[in-house]
Amino acid sequence: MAIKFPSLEFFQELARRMEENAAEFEKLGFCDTVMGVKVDGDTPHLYALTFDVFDCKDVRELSSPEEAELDFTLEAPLPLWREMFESIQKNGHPEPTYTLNSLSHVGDRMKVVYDDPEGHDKLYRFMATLQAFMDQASDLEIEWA
Amino acid sequence: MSYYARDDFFNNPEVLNRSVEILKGHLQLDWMKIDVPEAGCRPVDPRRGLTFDDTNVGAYGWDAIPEKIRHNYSMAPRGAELPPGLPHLGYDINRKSEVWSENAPALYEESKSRHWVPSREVPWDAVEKVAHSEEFERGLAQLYTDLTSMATCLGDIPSKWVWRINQEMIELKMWQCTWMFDAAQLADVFRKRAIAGGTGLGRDHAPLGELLKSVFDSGNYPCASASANLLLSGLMQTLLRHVGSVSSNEADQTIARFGVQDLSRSLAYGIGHMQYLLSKRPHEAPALSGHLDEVENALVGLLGGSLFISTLALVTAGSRAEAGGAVPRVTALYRVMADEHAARRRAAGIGSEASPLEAFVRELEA
Repeated sequence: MAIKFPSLEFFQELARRMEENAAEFEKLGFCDTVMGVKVDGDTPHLYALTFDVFDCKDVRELSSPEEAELDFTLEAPLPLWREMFESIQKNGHPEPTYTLNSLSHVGDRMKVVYDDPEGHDKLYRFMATLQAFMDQASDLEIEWA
Repeated sequence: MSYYARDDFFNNPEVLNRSVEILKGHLQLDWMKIDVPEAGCRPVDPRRGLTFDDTNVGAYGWDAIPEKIRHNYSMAPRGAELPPGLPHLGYDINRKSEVWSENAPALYEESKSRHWVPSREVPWDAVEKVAHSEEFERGLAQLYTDLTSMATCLGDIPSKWVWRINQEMIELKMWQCTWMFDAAQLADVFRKRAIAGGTGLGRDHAPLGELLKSVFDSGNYPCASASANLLLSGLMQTLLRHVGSVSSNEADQTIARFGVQDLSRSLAYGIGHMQYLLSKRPHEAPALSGHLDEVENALVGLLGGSLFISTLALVTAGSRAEAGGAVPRVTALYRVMADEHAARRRAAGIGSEASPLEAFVRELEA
């Protein structure tokens, strides 16, 4: 059954798959951060993903960034998120131009919004885990908004 | 050897006689009667195992470390009984705020947990099938050569100071050990990647040496920490992110993805260290800020150096012919570097209105 993007269910499914693939994430190590994902469009959506040790223990949709203590937020328009996940679905992982690193590197495609630089650096401290989390969508049937 | 033990044990008959008596079964067990606190530590989260945080209790915890350590100069682990006559190990860094960061124990645990093994985890066969041009590979090899020197310097910094730091700050010293190991491993993987790519290592250059000397020769540990953790690690993190964004080779992707993790822990410690130090000794901020401005001046020498900037232009454009057109993207990269560095400095409490890096990037943008 297809899961709509963007939706709370989409990220809950990635979190469920993360737990299911525990060995992969345990090898990558502890990941402790609260990441924001903002999908810009006619109706913007903002999600807070709370990573704790080897799991994504909480996924919530926020009506404003102040509702959670976000370390950083990845912001991009819906078409870019779609391109990223479609790239992941081609090979199980993104093409080099669609990794979180490449997309966010100089902020011209995906913005990284943060208040505290230590929170911002958590994107890089836990990069392998966060990329692997997104890669859990590789064989997910997605219904695009 | 400059230290001679206080007794000539080998020629002291008492030592042999005592050993013989004990081996006959006349054990001396008075050491079992000690006055140390009992503690029943268990993992708060079994998934993490027993962490430093779980053993931060009572006299065994780092909360008990005084700002000025006057009671223990031995190698005894914190919380152990200290009988009279322990030798002075010569530690001359005995002030907690000079080295401490509240996140150091957790960063140590994180470093172990997120450890990676480049010799096996980098897909080295991908380097044999590089899809890019030889001149792009030459540019990458030059960047990896520079990164090797930077990583070596990054590891040299804690090794220069760790043995001078009082053993009471065990968690901090253990963190420095992982910092050294991570840096060693980065130098290792950068060097191997440059050589394995087929073009070999690149050229060393004076502006890079000037920067690394400015970092390495920092006169005290706080200055060394600020320049190594905030500036050098920040530069390396930005460069690795750039490598990951310009090279489609899977080996480079892997090195970038895992390498930035190691460097970002140093950045976290650097910010935490400055915050802790300045919360206890705020009057040190101007000297630290002045030192960092001076190291930034050396960084400007590197960023403006012809070898470095032309290497970045080449790898950013993808080819020598198009390198000239990449100047705006290199400038944008420098802008990211300057903004992130300035944000870290402000968070650390050593922001600067006279930042040479900011002034340099503004000139480039003008």
